[in-house]
Order: sequence, then structure tokens, then C-alpha cells
Amino acid sequence: MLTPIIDGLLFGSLYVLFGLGLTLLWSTTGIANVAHGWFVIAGSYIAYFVTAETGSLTAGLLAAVLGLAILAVPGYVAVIKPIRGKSLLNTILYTFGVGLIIEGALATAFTTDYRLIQSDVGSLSFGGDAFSGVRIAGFVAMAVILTLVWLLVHRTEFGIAMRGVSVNQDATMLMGANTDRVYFIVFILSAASAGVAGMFLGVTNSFYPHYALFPLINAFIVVVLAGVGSIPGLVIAGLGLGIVQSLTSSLLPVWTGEIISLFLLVSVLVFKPEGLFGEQEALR
Amino acid sequence: MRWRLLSLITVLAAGAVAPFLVTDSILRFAINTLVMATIAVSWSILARAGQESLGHAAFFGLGAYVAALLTADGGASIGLAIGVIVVGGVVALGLALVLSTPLLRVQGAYFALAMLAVAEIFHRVALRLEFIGGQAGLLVAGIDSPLPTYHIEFYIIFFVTLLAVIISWRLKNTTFELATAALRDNITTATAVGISRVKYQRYALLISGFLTGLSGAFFVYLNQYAQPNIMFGIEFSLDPLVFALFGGFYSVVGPVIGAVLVRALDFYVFSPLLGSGSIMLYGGILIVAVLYFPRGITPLIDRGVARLRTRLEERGERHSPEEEQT
Repeated sequence: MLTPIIDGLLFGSLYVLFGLGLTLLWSTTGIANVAHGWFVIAGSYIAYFVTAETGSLTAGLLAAVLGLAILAVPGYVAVIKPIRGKSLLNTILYTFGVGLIIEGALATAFTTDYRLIQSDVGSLSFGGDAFSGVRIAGFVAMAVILTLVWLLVHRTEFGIAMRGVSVNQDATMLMGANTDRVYFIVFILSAASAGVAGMFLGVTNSFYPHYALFPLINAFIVVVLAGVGSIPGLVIAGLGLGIVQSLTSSLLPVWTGEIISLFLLVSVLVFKPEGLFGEQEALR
Repeated sequence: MRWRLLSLITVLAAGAVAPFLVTDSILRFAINTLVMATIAVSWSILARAGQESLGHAAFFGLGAYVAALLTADGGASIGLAIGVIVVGGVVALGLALVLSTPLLRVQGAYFALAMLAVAEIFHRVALRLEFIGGQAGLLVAGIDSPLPTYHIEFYIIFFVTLLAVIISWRLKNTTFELATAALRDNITTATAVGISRVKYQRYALLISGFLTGLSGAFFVYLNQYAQPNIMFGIEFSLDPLVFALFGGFYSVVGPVIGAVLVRALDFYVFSPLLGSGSIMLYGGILIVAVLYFPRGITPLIDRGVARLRTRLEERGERHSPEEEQT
């Protein structure tokens, strides 16, 4: 009983990391950034090459985070600026376009071969079962990052501006917050979180440019289930989904967990669009 | 009335002789393009009713798998193949009917994402169901016919595309178009005067699902292989959207023009240069279309033609460079 739960927590932390960047940007700017899935894969590629060069996963992780944060600076001009204030559907179509361009660029540069980040960090054992050290590190990283983000959103002046912008941009501007700066910083943070997610994804799952759909769909599942913008909801949804998938896979075939989560996504979208833990109706 | 009949006869005649005039590789390109054009037209019927789907691969793949299962044992004669294609369309229509009640509760991004998830559910299930071949897929024989295979395939898909275009065009002159236009302009007013959004969007979804199912069922005979990653792949959801957006989905022929132009550009320019990186073309079109021409290129063409005409007329009457700038 304990093993599948720990397994689920470890998988679930990956889902939380996928969803973090999506939910931050979506709730603050009203942009559902579909390209986030491709950001994650770009992070996997950076981590892959840096780890292969230096032999250090930590270096790979740092490079993926920094690399995506730096790429996000010109990315802000290309992705966020042009579509501020457009309808949610148009932001989805537009960022799908951005994602396809990233996919094409990755495929041209690195081919469509499967890749896996090599790691030999060792493993820890609980109750007789061994769990890979990298996946435990992923869980710890998730816990630390999510705590920091929660503190940022709820305990700092910047967080007040973030929440303000998500409710009423003009009023927030009149209160003296620099909304452009808020958008810019949130986008950088969201891209950097894709770097973390990309590195931990690339260690456990082999990836290729089109694999972006995996982090993308799982990010949408947890964010929509949680309700857009809800950080505690995101953690509950991500970890809960991991545990449910892991528990069902010990009773039923593995894939039933995936199907159940997709059914949940459709049901929540259709019957409860504000999400299970959302405070407000998500931006339309 | 007479010119309509005449133009229909002209189009049919052109379609009948076309396969004899081109090489096999161009014919194959044309067949694939018509498959995509049909999905793009059916996608645009739903889009004109106000719902932009991100999951038409669900209808396409379902039609494809129905056809593959029905004729898995051996080759299909022309008659059987046509019958099976119709069945594929009807099953996809059934799916559209089942989906219409829950999914049409919501609009815009929520509907689009829900459709994306539905297509992904079909994809994942198809990968695991052993009796439809699972990940390995199903091999299907092509259509048996006395004519060369490509010719008969071209005729069938040409007819299906024509059917889709005619349906889309007929809808333009019915209350369907008036009602959906009213819903697009101001949904509150339209609902207040008694136009039911769900009712018209359901019609559109049914027609759209049926036509997409037809092209999916046909595609199985062309591809001779049904595999989940192909049939339920996101390409069949996104590409038609790109074609319809590029061509302009408020016009009947816009999606067809979009499919022909973009696929030609992809097939003859981008793919030879970039290989699998040619997907960037589709991404680029999506970006530019959302930002600069949400109504596609057909209004731009119309405007260009109109401007050229006025300019020519002006030149005939008087020549003043100042007026030309306006």
C-alpha cells in the first residue's frame, strides 16, 4: 500500500511542476499558454546536453532554468505582448502556433530521435522498496518551489500586484503597480519553472520534440482540476492525480489512470469550469 | 438557377478528367489535399456556428477505425468501400450527437479544450485496445477496381469534398446562417429573441462530425494502415484549423483554398528544405492569422480584386494620383 502511494507522490510532483507555469501565467495575464508544453521539452533538451557535457545533473538543472529564463526575455515580446487582451481561445490558438514553431526548430536542430537524460544518483529505500534519488529530488524541488511561489503570491507586495492584475488590470495600475513589469516577471518565472519540469521529465521519460503534448495535456488536467490560479489546489490535484493513477495501476491496467484523468478534465471543463478549488470563475 | 447547374457540371467534368492529366505523385498529393480540405470545410461549418474545435481527430479517427474494422478481412469492392465510408460517417455523427449535449454547455476555449481532451481519450484507448490492433494498428487492403487505384480514390474523395462544399454553401442561404450570425454578433440579444445557441451549434457539430468521419473512413483506404498515432494524431485536429484560418472560414471555398495553398507550400517548399521541421510553417500561419487576418486571406483577395477593379475603372475615366491613395 505504501509503495504505490510514494510512487504516486513522486509522479504527481512532476504534474505539479508541469502545471505551475501554466497556472501562474493564465491567472495573471489571461493567457492559456499552450506553448508551455514545448517550453518544458526545450528545458529537457538543455538539461540533456549540459548533463551529457558536464556529467552533473545539477548543472543540467541550473542550465535549463537559466536558459529558459533567458529565452523568455525575447519570448515575452513574441508571445505575451502581441496577445494581451485577446480572447482566451485566441491565446490558445496563438500559443499553439508558437509551440509548433518551437517543435519545428527542435526537430530541425536535434532530429526527432528519442533521448533520455542519463543519471546515476543512486536510490533511497523505504520499507524494502527502492526509489530513484532523482525522482525524490524532484519531489523535494517541487515542495520547495511551490512553497516559495505561494509565499511570493500571498506574502509579498509583488504578489498583491499579481493577484490584483488578475482581477482588474486598470485598477491595479491606478494603485501604482507596474502591470507591464508584473506580466514580464510572471512570464520569466513561468518559463523558468518549465526548465525545472523539463529536467525532471527528461530523467524519467524519453522525450522528442512532439513529446511536448505529454507535459501539456497533464498541465491542463491539473490546472483545470485545481481551478486556474489556485496554488494549494494545484498541489492537491497534481499529487492526488499521481496517487490515483498509481493506485489504479496496481488494480487495473496502467493506462486506465490516464483515461480517468482525461475524463475528469472534460467533466470539469464542461460542468465546473471554475475548477474544484477555484475561488473565481476562470477567465473566459 | 441555370448558371449553378452549369458550374456544377463544369466542376464535375474537370474532376472527371483531372486524374488523366497529371502524374501519379501529383494525383496522390491532390487526394491527400482533398482529405484535408474536407476536414477543413467541416471544421469551418462548426466554427461559423461559433465553436472552434481542437479535437476533430476524434471524428476522423473514429471513421477511419470503423472502415478498417469493417473491411479488415480483405479488399473492398468500390460499392462496399462507398458503403463502409458512409457507415464511418454515420458512426462519427453518432459520436457528435453523444458529445453535443455535455460539450455544448460551454463555449470558446472551454469547448476547444474539451474537444482536445476527447480526441486524446480516443487516441489513448485505441493504443490499448487489442481487437483493433493496439499500438501495432491494422492493415487494410485498398479499393479493388478496374480503374487504376489512384483514379478511383480521387473520384471518391473529390465527390466527398464537393459534398462538403455544397453543404457548407447551402447552409449560407438558410436560417442556420442567419441564426449563427446573430449569435456571433451579440449572443445576449440573439438569445433574447429566441435563437437557441445549443440547437444551431448541435446541427453544425452533427454535420461537421459526419463529414469528418467520411474523410477518415476514406483515408483508411488511401493509407491502407490504421494506427492510433496517425488516425487520432493531433495533426488531424490542428492542420484543418490552420487551413481554415488561412483560407478564411467565413467563406465557403476559403478552407479549400487554404488547404491547397498551405499543403503545396509545405509539400514542395518547406518539407524538402526542413524535413520534419516544416511544422514551423503551420505554427507561423496560426500566429499570423490570429494577429493579422482572423478572417483569413479570402477577404484580402476580395479586397485586392475590388481595389484593382476600381483603380482600373478610375484610370479609364480620369487620372489623378492624389485620389489613388485613398
